[in-house]
Amino acid sequence: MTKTLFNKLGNSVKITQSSIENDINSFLKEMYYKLGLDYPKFFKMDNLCKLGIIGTELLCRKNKDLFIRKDRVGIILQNKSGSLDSDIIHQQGITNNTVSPGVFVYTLSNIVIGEISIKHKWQSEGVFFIDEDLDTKLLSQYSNILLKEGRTDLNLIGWVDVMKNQYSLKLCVVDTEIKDAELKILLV
Amino acid sequence: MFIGAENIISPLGNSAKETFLRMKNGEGSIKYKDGLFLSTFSPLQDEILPLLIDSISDSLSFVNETILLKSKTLLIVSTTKGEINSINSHIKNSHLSYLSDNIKTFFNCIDKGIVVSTACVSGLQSLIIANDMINHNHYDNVIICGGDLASQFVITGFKSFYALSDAPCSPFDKDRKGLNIGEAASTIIMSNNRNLYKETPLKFLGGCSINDANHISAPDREAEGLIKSINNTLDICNVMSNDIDFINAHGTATVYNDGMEAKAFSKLGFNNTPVNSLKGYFGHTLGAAAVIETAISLQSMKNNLLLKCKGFENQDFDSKLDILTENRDIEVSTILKTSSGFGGFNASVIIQKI
Repeated sequence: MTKTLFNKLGNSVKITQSSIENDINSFLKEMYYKLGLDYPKFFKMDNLCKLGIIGTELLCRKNKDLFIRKDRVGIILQNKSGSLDSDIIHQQGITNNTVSPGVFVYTLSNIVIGEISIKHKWQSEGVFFIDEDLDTKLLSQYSNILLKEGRTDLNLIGWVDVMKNQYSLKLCVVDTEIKDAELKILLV
Repeated sequence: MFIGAENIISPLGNSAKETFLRMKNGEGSIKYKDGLFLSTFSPLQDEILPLLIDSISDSLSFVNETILLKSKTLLIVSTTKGEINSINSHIKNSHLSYLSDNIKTFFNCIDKGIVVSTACVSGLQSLIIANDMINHNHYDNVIICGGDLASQFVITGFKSFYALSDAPCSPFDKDRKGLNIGEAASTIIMSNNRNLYKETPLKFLGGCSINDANHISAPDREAEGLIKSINNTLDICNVMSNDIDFINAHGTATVYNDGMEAKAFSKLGFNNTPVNSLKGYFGHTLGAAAVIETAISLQSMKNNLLLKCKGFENQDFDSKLDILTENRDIEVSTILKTSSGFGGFNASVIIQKI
């Protein structure tokens, strides 16, 4: 089952899926229409970017007032698979002699930050970490650094991972320093 | 914040000093191979992990081990594609954390390993994050290690973008035709303790990375992101633009990237500041690029010798820049290093002599 949850603070969103019945392509398409997104660029993106765009959209709608200062929103993301979902498609392209720049450009994990930044016109700091598991300690440390130094006013933090039909997104927005344990409650 | 103990493992040598010496003599490693100009290791390397380990080992020989073992050390691996050659045979190894996990296990001085993967800006962002982590007392030292291979994966991709030059690349030149892919591993160690270093280190003043929110693969023609990044960095470091003695640019030698960078430097009034790009020596080494280029720039500062922008001959832009056509002996105290990459990322840092 695919589920979309908001926690009681209203500032986190989680999407997870692991069953084969509901494939990722139809899920993302369904969410696009459900949210009434009018953003044709969406259909050019790989699934990692599509999932990031959907998650961010859900978060923005819940926290409209937070996203006013567009040059002050930091994005700190992490995942396990990097861009391997697109890497596999590019690698198949090499084998079949059908390499396409439209696929290759998505073989970098940070492109999802680029797509989110473009969609929302956020010109600010962004970083992409890779690890086997969600590291709330690292994410909270870096978010606190950006906020404490006044380099951002609020940060979009979380996990966005896609590998074929397995996908998971856990995002939240914070505008004050957050402890590792608090971020765990929001994201785990 | 101190920075030093740099290493470079490249087709030009196995240390920063050796690589710098050969570059000083005008040598490069870009060669014609199978219809392309590339900078590759000979013999060919299929894995990046052993090179990263060699690179870190050499860097560690420039620091005091007792101090290192007594303090808290973070490893940051900067890479775009890691072990991409394993994607068909051992996909597990193609997960980028395979590198940080294995390096951490190999060296007993590392308390934690992380991976930063933000395209061609990965290296500079790793230095910025290292600075942040030490400044905020999460670690005492950070080993920053960048590495990427000139894989078929990457070559075919850039080829499909028509981004590869059919000649040795010529950064900032009027007739530049694109980039050459290169491969390398490079390490830099940052620390809050000057005594960690056996040789005199330099000071890392700070930096920042800004997304231009413009396009995922095309540079912003108005260079807004890079300008904002450099302005923020000058601000953070409390440095005036006329205090900058030298700029080591990204300079991939693609038409649009170099045009964007030249625009940023002109708009910021850097027309009389010496500039180079090092891509003409060893190509674009992706996740290693900003680490290896910073390592060479540290060597430039230590030797008071700026390297010529190999491949550059003729100015292209309305507003002329001081792009180095010959090596220049000059006292350099403060430098600016910049990087820009796919995803709209633009980073800059300032390094100064003690």
